[in-house]
Amino acid sequence: MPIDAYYRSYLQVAAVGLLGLGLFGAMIGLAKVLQPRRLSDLKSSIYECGVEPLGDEWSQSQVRYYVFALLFVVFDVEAIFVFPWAVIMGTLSWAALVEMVIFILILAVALLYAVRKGVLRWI
Amino acid sequence: MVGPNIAFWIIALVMAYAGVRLVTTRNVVHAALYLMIVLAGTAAIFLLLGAEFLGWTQVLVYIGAIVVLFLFGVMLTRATYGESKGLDNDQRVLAATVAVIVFLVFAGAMWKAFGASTEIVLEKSTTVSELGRDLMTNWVLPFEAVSLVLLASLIGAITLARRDDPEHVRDRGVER
Repeated sequence: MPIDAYYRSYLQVAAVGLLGLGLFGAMIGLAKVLQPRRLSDLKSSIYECGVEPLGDEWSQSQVRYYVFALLFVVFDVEAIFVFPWAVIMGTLSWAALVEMVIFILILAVALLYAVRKGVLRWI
Repeated sequence: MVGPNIAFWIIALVMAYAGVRLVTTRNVVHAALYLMIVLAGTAAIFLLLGAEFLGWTQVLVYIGAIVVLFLFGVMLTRATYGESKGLDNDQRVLAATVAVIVFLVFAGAMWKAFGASTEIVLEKSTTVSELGRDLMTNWVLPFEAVSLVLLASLIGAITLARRDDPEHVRDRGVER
């Protein structure tokens, strides 16, 4: 794409983004200006009714979540490599399809490894 | 062109501010969120340079996945939310030295590439289809090597994150 048209297309993206930020700011700002503020302990508690929150708001989470996050990163990167192939798949020869199948098969081995090691099993 | 230059300076200033706050904030979670701003700025600069795919990859992988990983890392440790005192250590001189060296390496690389010319002229942006065609024809072998790198990284991650206690696993198997 010529660089001028490219920048112009992103000008639209920037305009929509700024509009969204402005809308958000206007709503929050208006609420700040208009609302009466009479805070009490009960009002600022997390649950006005129901069970009272106990303990610290910060709890240590389980290490098994971390494996899922790591798996997500790996397959996220895989997906990134599939996109450019998918865009032009129709114009490519069969060789490209074979290349992508090899790529995905190698990563399927990774998934198989994860399954066999039992990290995907939730107790 | 004036527009991209103005955009660059706005992005660069926001990134610099977020970068300084990232290392000075006393709250670990805030540090991760400042890191997100820095990464978003990097993505915006990639977009400014006409590297559309790279910019959105930065958003998807770094903001979408790496920051999540950092937040998980924070949540896994016994770090307390809010102000924590133990974030500073006595490595300031070493850190400053490393920062200066990294700056010199980058500055040197840029000087070598572009010399004294202050204006970089971009003719066109790289489209995803051009990238895909190149990847599938000229760079097939590196492309397949990437999958092996990903495989190795995943196996390493599982090895590190998994509790490798055979007895424990056997017990669990009996329970089922």
